[in-house]
Amino acid sequence: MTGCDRVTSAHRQPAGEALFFWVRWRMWRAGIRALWQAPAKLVVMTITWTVLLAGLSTLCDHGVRFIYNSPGFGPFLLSRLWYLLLFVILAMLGISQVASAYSTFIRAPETRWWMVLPVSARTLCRVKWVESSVYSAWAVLLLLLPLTMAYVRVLNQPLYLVAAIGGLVFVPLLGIMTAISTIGLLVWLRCCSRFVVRGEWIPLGFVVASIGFFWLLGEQRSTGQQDVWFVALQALLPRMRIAMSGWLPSRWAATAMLAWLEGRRVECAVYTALLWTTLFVAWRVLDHLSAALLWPVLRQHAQPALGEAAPARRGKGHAPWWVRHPLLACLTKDALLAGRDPMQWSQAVMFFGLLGAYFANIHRIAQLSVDPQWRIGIAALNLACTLLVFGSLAVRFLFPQMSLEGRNLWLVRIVPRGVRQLFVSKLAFYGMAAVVIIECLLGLSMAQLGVPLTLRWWLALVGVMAAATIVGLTVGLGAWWMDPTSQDAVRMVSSSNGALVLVFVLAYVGCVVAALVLAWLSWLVGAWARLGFISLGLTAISALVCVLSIRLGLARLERLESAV
Amino acid sequence: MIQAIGLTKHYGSFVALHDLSFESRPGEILALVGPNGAGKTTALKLLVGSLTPTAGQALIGGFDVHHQPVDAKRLLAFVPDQPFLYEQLTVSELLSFIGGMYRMDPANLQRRAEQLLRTFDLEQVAGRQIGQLSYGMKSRLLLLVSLLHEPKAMILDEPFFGLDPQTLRLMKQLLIQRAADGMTIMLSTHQLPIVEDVAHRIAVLSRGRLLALGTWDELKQQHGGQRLEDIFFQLTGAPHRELA
Repeated sequence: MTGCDRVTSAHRQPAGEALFFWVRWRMWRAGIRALWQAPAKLVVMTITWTVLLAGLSTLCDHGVRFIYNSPGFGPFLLSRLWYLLLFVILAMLGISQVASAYSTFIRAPETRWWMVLPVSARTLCRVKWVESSVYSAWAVLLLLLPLTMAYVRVLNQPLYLVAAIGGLVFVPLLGIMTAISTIGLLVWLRCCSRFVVRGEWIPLGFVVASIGFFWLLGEQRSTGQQDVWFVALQALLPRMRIAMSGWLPSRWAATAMLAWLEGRRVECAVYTALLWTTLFVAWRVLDHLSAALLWPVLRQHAQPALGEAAPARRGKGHAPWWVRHPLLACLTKDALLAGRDPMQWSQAVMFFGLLGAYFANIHRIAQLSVDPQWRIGIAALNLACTLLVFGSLAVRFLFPQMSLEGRNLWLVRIVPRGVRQLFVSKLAFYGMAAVVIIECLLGLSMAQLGVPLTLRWWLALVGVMAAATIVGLTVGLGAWWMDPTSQDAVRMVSSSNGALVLVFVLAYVGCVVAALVLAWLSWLVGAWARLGFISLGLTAISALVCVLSIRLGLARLERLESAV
Repeated sequence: MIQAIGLTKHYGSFVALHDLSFESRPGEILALVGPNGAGKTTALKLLVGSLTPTAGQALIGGFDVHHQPVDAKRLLAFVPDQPFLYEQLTVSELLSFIGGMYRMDPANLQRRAEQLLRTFDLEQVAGRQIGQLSYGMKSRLLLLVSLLHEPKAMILDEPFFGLDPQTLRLMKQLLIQRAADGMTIMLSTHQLPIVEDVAHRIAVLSRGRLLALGTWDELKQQHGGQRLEDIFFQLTGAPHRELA
C-alpha cells in the first residue's frame, strides 16, 4: 500500500465526531507506544499506580468498616455520608469542569483550526464536552470506585456490582454535572462577556459567597459543654439537609446505589432511570444551545484586532530599577503573566478561600473547651488538608509552567544563563506565594484552635518545608518532562507524566500526614525524642524529594535541544 | 566574528548537517540559502547554541557557543522565524524584561528602548499587550528586542517572511546600516532577490552540505547565470514535479 493509499483510506473511514475521536485515539496510541519504548518509566508508573490504588483501596476499606462498625449509628451514618460525599464531589466537579471546558473549548489553539473545517457547532461541542468531561472526571471516578468497592465488601455483596453501579449510576451523574457546567459556561460567556473581561472578580465573589454559606449554616450559635462526636454530628446535619435535597442528582445517585445494595429494585430502577433521563435532557439542551452559542462565543473570544483592544497599560520604555538583575526580571515577568491570567490563580483563590472560610469558623471547637489534644489533632489535620489542596493545585498549575514557556523559550535561551534564571525564578515566585498562603491559613487555623506556641512553630515549619518541597517537586519534574510544543495545560496534566507527578505529590503529602499523625501521638505521650526523630526524618525526605526533582529539572534544561 | 568549524549534526542515522565550515567577518552580511530541509535552520541553531553539534565547533567572537555560552551569548542576538513573544506582557514590559536579563543599566535601557521604538515606529503601542499587535508589528518588535543589548553579531532565521513592503524595506535598510556600523549578520532565507540586494556573501546549502560560498560576483563567475535563482537551481536541482 502506498503512502497516498494509506492517507485516502484513513480519510474515508471517520467523519464528524468519529474523526475527532480518531485523531485523539491516534495521539493516545502514539503516547502508549512511546511509553512502551521507555520500559523504566513504564515500570515506575505501573508500580506507583499499583501502590497508590492498593493504598487507596485499603484506606477506604478500613475507613468504611470503621464507620459501619460504630455501635448504634454506624450503618445509618455511612449511608447518609454517601449523600454528603456525592454532593461535595458534584460541587467540586462542577468547578473543575468549568475550568476544563474553558481550556478545551476556548483556550485550546486547535479549536480555531476545527472552526475552519466543515464541522457543525454541535459536533464540535459534543466532542469537546466529552473530552473536557474526561479530563475533569477521571480523578473523581478514581476516588469513587475504591469507596464503592469498600462499601460493597462491607455489605457482603458481590464485587461485580461496583462495575454496574459505576456504569449505571456514577457515569450519568458525572455526565449531568459536566453538561450543566458546560451549559452554564457557554451561557455565561455569551451573555456576560463584559464580566468575563473582569473575570478576576469571579473567584473573589465565590469566596465571599462561601463565607456567607458557612455563616448561614449556623456556626455562629454557641452551645455548652458537649461531646466532640455530638458537636461534629450537629455541624454535619445542616450540611446534610442541603445534600439530601430532592432536586439534586447526587441524591438520586446515592439513593439508587443504596437501594440497589439493599435490594430495593424498583426504587433503584426509578432513580437510575431519572439519572439517565436527566443526562439525556442535559445533553440535548447543551446540544441545542451549542448550535446557537458556540460560534458566537468562539468568535467573541478570538484575538481582538488592533484598535479594539484594551486600553494601553503604561507609558513607553518603562524600566524600573528592580529589574536590573535577570532573576528579578524573570520574577517580575512571572508575576505579571500570572496576574493577568485569571485561569492561573482563580482556582487557587476559590479553594484556599474555602479553606480560609472553614478555618475562620472552627473557633467553636475552642469555645467548647474540647480537649487540647483534639485541638492539636485538628490543627494538624487542617495542615494536611491545606497541603492536599495545594498539592493538587500545584500539579494543575505549576507542573506545566516550564512547558508553557514553550515557544517563548528562545527568548531566554539566547540570554546568558537565561533558562536557569527562569527556572530559579519560577521556584522562587511560586515557592514564596505557596509559603505565604499556607502559613496564613495555618496561622488562622491555629489561632482559632488555640494551639500551644511551641507546636505552632513546629507546624509552621512543617508547612514551609512541605510547601517548598511540593513546589520543587512539581516545577522540577515539570522541567524534567518538559514539552515545549504543548500549549494545552489541561492535556499535559492529564497525560501519563502529569498523572505520575500527581501520584508523587500525593505520596509526599501522605508522608507528611503520617509524620503529623506520629508527631501528634508522640506529643500526647510526651515522647520528645521520638518527635525530634520524626522531624528529622520528614526534613530528610523533603530535602531528598525537593533536591532530586530540582536537579533532574536542571539537568534536562541544560541539555535541552530546543524546538524553537 | 561568527565561525563554524566542521559543524556536523546527526539525528540517528539521518545527517542534517555535514562538516560545515565558514567564517563571517565584522561588517558582513552572510546569507544562507537552500531548499527546505537543506539544514539552514539546523546550522543557525547550532551557531546560536540551541542544538548540540555531533561534531565540530561554533564560535562567536572567538568564544565556543557550547563551552563558553555566557561570553558568546553576550555578543549575540538571534531572531527566530516566528514572532513568539510573551503575549500578555506590554511592549515596554517586555523591553524591561529583556534589559533585566542582559543586566542593562536602567538609564541606558530607557534610552535604547526609546530610540529603537522610534526607529521601528512602535512608540504608539509601547503600552499595549503584545497579543494585541499585528503580525508585522510583532516582527518589528522581535528585531527591536534582539538589538536592545547592542550585540556584535546577529543571526536571523527567515527574517523577511510575511512582512509588508514598508516593513521589508525598513528591515533591509536596517541590516545594511548595522553591517556598515560593524555588526556581523548572518541570515537564512528563501527570498533570493532580497539576498541579491543585501548580502555580501552567499552560502548555498543542500542536503546538509555546503555547495557554494562566495560573493555574488564570485558565484556568477563560477556558476554563470544572471540571477541568483539560476545559480540556486543549477546547484540544488530545478523543480521537476508536475503541477496538480
